[in-house]
Amino acid sequence: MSMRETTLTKRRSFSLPVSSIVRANLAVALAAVLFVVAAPKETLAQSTTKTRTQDNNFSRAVTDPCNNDTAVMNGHQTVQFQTQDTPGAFHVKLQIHEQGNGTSTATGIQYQYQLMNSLFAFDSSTSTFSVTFSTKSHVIGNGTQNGDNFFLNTFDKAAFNKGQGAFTIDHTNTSCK
Amino acid sequence: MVTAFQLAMGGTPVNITKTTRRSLLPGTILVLLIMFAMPQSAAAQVSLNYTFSVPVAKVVPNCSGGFELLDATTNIAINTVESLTAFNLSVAITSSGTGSDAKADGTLILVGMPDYNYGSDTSVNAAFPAKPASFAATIPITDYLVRTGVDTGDSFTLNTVLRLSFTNGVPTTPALQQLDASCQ
Repeated sequence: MSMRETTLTKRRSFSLPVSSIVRANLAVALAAVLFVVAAPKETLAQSTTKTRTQDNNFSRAVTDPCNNDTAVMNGHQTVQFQTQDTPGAFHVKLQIHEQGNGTSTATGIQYQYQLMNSLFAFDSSTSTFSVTFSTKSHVIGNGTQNGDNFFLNTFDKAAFNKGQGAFTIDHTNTSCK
Repeated sequence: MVTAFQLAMGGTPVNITKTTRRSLLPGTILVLLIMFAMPQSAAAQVSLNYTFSVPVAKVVPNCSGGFELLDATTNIAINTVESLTAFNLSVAITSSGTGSDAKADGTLILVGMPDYNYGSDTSVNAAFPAKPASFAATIPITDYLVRTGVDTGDSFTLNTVLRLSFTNGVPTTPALQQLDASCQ
């Protein structure tokens, strides 16, 4: 497993036209500056955006429920996180790419699949939560009848603790169309 | 006669003087306050169920140059469980429907082929340490449309995107954000 991470922090700041105020009224300008300095820092909204890519290689034995064939699937999964954490608003986008292939030792059928359409988004008022969701891939047996094709259902779990994310494959199962 | 105060103290008749009453009263009030302030049960849970049904009728292109009129329904069952220490929500999404050969305007045509058929189920579970003020999930759903009973090799994929929103744990009506077809 390898990870790449980038962080971008933006702080909204308020700029005062100090020079013009000073010209107009020095006392008022001084009071305004003192007020800004004395104001709590928490009132300045801070937004932290992070992107992270996690690559996983995996190997798992799956049973084709349509013909009871078993194959060991070797695959690669890339998960791209993008989180934006602002006090009171946490946004996550998760894009999952997955592909795999394998061969049944019993029948010699070669299976392959590619996961598409997997952009999930979560928006929460809290940045501490976990979410488990499922994706479905159509596993196709090469050169065989459609009756050998089946679905691979993957249940992924993304857990966030104060904005820090971790992604794992929770479990998988198969189903026949 | 046993007074209410005596009952509260265990029901044993005792001879209570004004001085004793003054000394016992603050302690009794404290005990009663603690009793009322204590949670009724650490395992107390509130479970709520919601169901939504989203009908779908749309013409989409298939992968053999024609069009299909989709007639489908997406059912969404939501369960929320709130306890003193957690808030969990479970969403089960089941879709089922048919695709009938049609013109681009939706007019059905007979080509001698059986209808496409599809069905799917998707789930999302979320866990929070406390009920969130707001939560929303955008969920892609992939369905594979296959003609019923024959192997015609012209199956295709239907991509649906649903948006679910919750305010203080209560779901709003799901929104269908996207529905399009693609070739496998």
